[in-house]
Amino acid sequence: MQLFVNPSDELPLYRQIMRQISEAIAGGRLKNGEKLASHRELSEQLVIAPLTVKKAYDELELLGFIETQRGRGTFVSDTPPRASRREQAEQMQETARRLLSQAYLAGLRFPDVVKLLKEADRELGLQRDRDQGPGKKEST
Amino acid sequence: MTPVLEFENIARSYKRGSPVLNGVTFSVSEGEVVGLLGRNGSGKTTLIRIAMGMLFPHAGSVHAFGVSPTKDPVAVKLRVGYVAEEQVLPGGASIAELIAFHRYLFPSWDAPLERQLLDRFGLQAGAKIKHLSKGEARQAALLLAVCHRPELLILDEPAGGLDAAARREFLEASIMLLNREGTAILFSSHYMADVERIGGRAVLLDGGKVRLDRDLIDLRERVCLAMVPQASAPDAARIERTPGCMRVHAVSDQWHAVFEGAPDEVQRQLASSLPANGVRCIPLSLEELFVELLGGRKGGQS
Amino acid sequence: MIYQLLRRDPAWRLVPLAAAISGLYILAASRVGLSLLLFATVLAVWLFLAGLHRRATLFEAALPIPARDLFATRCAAFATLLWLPVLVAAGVAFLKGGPEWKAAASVLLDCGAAATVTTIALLPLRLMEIEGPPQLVMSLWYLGAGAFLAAFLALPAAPVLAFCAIASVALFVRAWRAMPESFQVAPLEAQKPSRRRQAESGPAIPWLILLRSVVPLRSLLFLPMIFQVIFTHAASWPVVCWVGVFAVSGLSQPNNRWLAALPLARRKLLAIAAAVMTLMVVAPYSVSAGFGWGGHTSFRLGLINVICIILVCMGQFILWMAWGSYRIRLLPMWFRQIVFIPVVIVVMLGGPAVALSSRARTAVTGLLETFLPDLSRRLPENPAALLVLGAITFAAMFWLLEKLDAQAEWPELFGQTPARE
Repeated sequence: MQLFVNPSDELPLYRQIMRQISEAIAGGRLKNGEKLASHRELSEQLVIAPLTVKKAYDELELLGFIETQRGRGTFVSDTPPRASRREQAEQMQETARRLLSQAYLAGLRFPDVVKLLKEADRELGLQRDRDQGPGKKEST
Repeated sequence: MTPVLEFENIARSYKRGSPVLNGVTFSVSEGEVVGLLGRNGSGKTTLIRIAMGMLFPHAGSVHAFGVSPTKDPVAVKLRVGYVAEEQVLPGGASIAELIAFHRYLFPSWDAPLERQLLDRFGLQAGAKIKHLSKGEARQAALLLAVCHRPELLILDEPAGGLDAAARREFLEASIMLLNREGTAILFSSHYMADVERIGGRAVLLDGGKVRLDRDLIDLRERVCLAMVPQASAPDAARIERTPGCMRVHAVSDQWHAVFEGAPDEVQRQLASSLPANGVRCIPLSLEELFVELLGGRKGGQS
Repeated sequence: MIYQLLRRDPAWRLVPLAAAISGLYILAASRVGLSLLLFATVLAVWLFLAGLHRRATLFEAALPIPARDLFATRCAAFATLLWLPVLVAAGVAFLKGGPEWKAAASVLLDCGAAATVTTIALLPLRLMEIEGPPQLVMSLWYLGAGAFLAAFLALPAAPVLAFCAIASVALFVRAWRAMPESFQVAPLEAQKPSRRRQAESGPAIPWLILLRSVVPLRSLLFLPMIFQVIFTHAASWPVVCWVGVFAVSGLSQPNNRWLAALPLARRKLLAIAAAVMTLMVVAPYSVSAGFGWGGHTSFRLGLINVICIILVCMGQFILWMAWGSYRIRLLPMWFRQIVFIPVVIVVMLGGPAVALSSRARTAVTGLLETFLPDLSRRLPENPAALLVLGAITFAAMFWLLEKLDAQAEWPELFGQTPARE
């Protein structure tokens, strides 16, 4: 799984790594129980300090996305975490607000946005099925 | 645990009456990566030379591995790898000659690492230094500094004048060393993106003193920039007096103020304490922080 | 350890060249007094080229080498640089036979002794730092060596050498005891800020800086030599024309590249360099001719000589330019070596050879004495017409110079390679 970081971005480096890994888990690109690169490997691959990688992994572990097994490495946890409902709701509200403001600026209206959301849901469903292998039916 | 490098109240001047360093105190622990930042002429090279024993401080003390470089420079130099700011390698010597010389001087020379680095940098051992390009010469200097497995690596503007790809290669080699040996690294640089990549801590020199000495992640998350339109707050002193303010200066029709604290907190604080509206708080990259703190007049003192 | 360091020392590297040239000098020389004087001057030049004021480079200062080792290496290197050439020269002088040469041998040893004592005394100037101030060291060296030499000449050889040995050892030990653990790369104490008020506006003559850039300082090193020869015989100007080449070498320096970006006609730069070069030869000639040395009586003959000097200097300048010419460098290497290197050798070394070998000297003056009157017979009587003729020839040569300069790409000379970007 290929990560990419940009030091000039608004987010600190470790948060960029956290975001990419958690998005990959959410989108099914990283499966439960899959092994992640070690601190050293990832730091040499991304050309960043190993302590930054360590901080990202530590935070992800605290949130429950990944777990470290002594001597064996770092793995995606089998049970995905559940951040507190309230936190999730706040984050999603912020994202929704941003999405709507961009859409309104572009001249779209609320029904158009709903259509966009349905389309995105369909694409995500397709991708999840594709990643999970052939033989699974499409879910609507 | 003894810090690998320790500066205590270092003072040094070149011209009487205008000190370049005026009470610099900080230390580097084992395995830490510290970026030394500051404007040109703020004393970074001077501080590094003091650490190497090449200059005496006029006041204060410096210790590397618990030993003073002024009293026993050879012992210090045996455990330190140093890459100078300018090209100081003798031009007429070939890389192989210099490697042989260093192998003779440093008993802890690591021959497999030398071969690996020569290969990785793509350097011909028989090439003379004066025939190498700037990037290659810098890489040769890094090789010579690193192959005796130092416990502390001191790099004085290692990326100066190098193109982006050469800079990236330099960083990669440093990270490989960091991972393999746990070497502490002290480097001064003007390329903030590079500092943010591999730095753990940033030390900012200004006016001969340490202006900032913080973890980089902490700097990114707990320091922000507040932009206040001058129309709503004509008096900068009001902003300065707000607790947590580090510097205020004017930029076109706004006040730019660097504050301690996360952007949301600071925004709330300013909104309540100032009769100003239109205040915006944003997080700062290291480069922006540098410019906001030190830019404007020479010295940047507000 | 010391041997390893010694191999990289610039003074050590100069030793073979210095010894060879010293031997050849004395071998070819015929006039004892003059050759010795020249020898002493050249010895100083070797020392300065090897960096007499420097105890260590920045590179060495960062390495885990104790300062004592660095100092001992430098002393050993300089001792070799002084004594090997002196011994070779003295040996050759002794072997030449004849009383005056045997006396010359002992004078050479005195030179060596004086130089050694002065060098060891000056090497630890500002001992704590990596290098002493170069101009101060050089001037003190001349004064010290001159004073010692004057004293030594009056004394017999054996006490002189004994004194030299004892004094050198004593000075060395004193420096050894006072040696710091490592050299500092900047002055120990903060300097007083310079009292001289920096000129707020530029100097009255804005192009002065141009002059300073184009004419390298090292061309002044040879002024004493020129005056020595010219003052003895004005008709021997061909002997020193070659020195002018150093004045024009400034144009090819890498640190004069900033001139290329300015809206300055290249022609002006060439003219300045040519002017300085000819002035370096014409001025001493005119002075000695004015005093009547060399037997020139008529103004016209003197004028002819001056014009010839200018044209010969221009010829050298053209040769120098041709060396850097792009077209020339396209020619195959073996061709360049066959044609160019002998020419360069004749031009560069012919001068000093003539200065020292009386046979070559008589040949040259003989040539002048046959060639010049012949020439002057063919030339117009009127000095004004002479000037016009000279000007036309000069203009033609200058045109050729410009053409060559337009395609000059300077190869590495004197080890100053521009960094490959």
